[in-house]
Amino acid sequence: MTDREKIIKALAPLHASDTAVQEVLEMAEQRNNHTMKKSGRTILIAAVIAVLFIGTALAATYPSWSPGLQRLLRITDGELAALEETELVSRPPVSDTHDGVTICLEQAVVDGGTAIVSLRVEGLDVPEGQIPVPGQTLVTIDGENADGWGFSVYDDLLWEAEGVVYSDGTPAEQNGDGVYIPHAIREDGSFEIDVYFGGLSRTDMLVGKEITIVVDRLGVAPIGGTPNDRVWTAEGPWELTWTAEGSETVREWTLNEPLFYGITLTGVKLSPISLRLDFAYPPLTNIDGTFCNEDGQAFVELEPFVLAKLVMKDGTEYTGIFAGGSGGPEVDNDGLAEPFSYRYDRTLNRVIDPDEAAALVFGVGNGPAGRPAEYYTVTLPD
Amino acid sequence: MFTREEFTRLAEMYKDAVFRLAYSLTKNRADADDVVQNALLRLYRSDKRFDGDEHVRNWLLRVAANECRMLWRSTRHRAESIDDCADTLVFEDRYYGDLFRAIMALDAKYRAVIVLYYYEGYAIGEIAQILRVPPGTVGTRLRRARDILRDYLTEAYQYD
Repeated sequence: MTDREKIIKALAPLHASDTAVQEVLEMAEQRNNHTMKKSGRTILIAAVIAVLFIGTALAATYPSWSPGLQRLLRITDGELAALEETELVSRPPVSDTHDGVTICLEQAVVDGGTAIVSLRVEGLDVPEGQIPVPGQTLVTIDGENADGWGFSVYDDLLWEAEGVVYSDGTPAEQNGDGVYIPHAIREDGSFEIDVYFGGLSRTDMLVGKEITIVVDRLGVAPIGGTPNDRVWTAEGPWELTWTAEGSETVREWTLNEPLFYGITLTGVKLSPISLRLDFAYPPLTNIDGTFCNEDGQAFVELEPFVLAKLVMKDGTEYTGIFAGGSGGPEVDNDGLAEPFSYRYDRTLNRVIDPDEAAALVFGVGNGPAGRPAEYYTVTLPD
Repeated sequence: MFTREEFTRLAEMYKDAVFRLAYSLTKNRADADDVVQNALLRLYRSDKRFDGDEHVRNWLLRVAANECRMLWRSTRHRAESIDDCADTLVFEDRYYGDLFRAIMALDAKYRAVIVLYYYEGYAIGEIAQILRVPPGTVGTRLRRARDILRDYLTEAYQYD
């Protein structure tokens, strides 16, 4: 008998419950009263309660969301529970402790091209009137530097049109110098660092790659102080390594859409929090310090456009959702004499459903009030 | 999304595979039942496009592995006595009961690769995808698991 046959016989008696599938169907198909049977314990969630307290009640049955991630991705309380059910969110159990301070990975939102991670820091003493500051940081993907990573300590300050407020809606306090006072330290003394980085130029799929985040030291600084005011109070390095889990959902379109200035949009790749555009560019030459195409149209920069809107099938228009990213190739002072391919990668500051994308709207030129002079709409076929 | 009939067909086909992996990772039948339930519920609600039944199976096992990782962080998770569990199962021969106990006595990371490689028939690279670890790590874990189980597993082996 082979080893495989032996192990099959040893494990064969392990079976799921005969009623497992039926129970799932009943749970999924019940619309008014939702009953979740968990190994003999029954949790009843009434539809009325869910409607009244949908954010609070459902959030209470899920691990809590990092406020920084929720803010970065503009996720409403009502959307939290639905996102927990997707592959986009993970909580890898990784942590590191040095000098009495522990940094653990609290939550990660990852898709093919972008990762947004919240770190929880425990054990750093932050005196009144001071804020925590991270030292040198590094993010690698499979050992190579990630694209344009950013770190920020979550400060609970929301910059609204009406003014600056805390997440509970109360107006933010200011110190004597007019600096808004952050509420970075949680009740338990911990604080949050949010890390965002892209891997778009490194890999076509971030999920499954080995990610490492390194923080070399931590310290404190006065609120409104300068980098010279930082005092390092804990030495690391803290190193968190895990294999990225996330959403592999991606929607791709192959196009041949002439736009402007001789540029053609040749491809679109859209994930829940990432966008990639591929263009065919005309030859460019340097004329008196400005790149120009064959028609003499000036490219002030290699991206002579703004991506103005993402339009969804239900008519929702997202503006200002394209955050950081990169573009290439690099062009030297002489320009490029032949047509070339240009890739434009961006992370999104919203979670979208790629299957519901309907169109992209580009803006070019200088119009009134700083807006583009012209707009080009590219329909994304079903 | 699946029709009710299609979901039922797939769920019945793969629920045991999910349970075996979940039990190998949690050593707790109640938790394994929960993982099966959560994984199947996510499948029911998913609007993901699958490329055939095998894709569904792989996806379910990845979801199950992830659910188990979340359970490990939960204070309510407790592994149960393997003897208590084995006593409730019916084995073809006492030998297989002993092998079951030996497998369940392994560390969780070794149990999972044993289940996926030998029972579910996955290749090293596929196991790496499911468990979200490098393929080299899967090979190492299989070798170590085999070393521990050497009294039961007698074939010469080479993991690609």
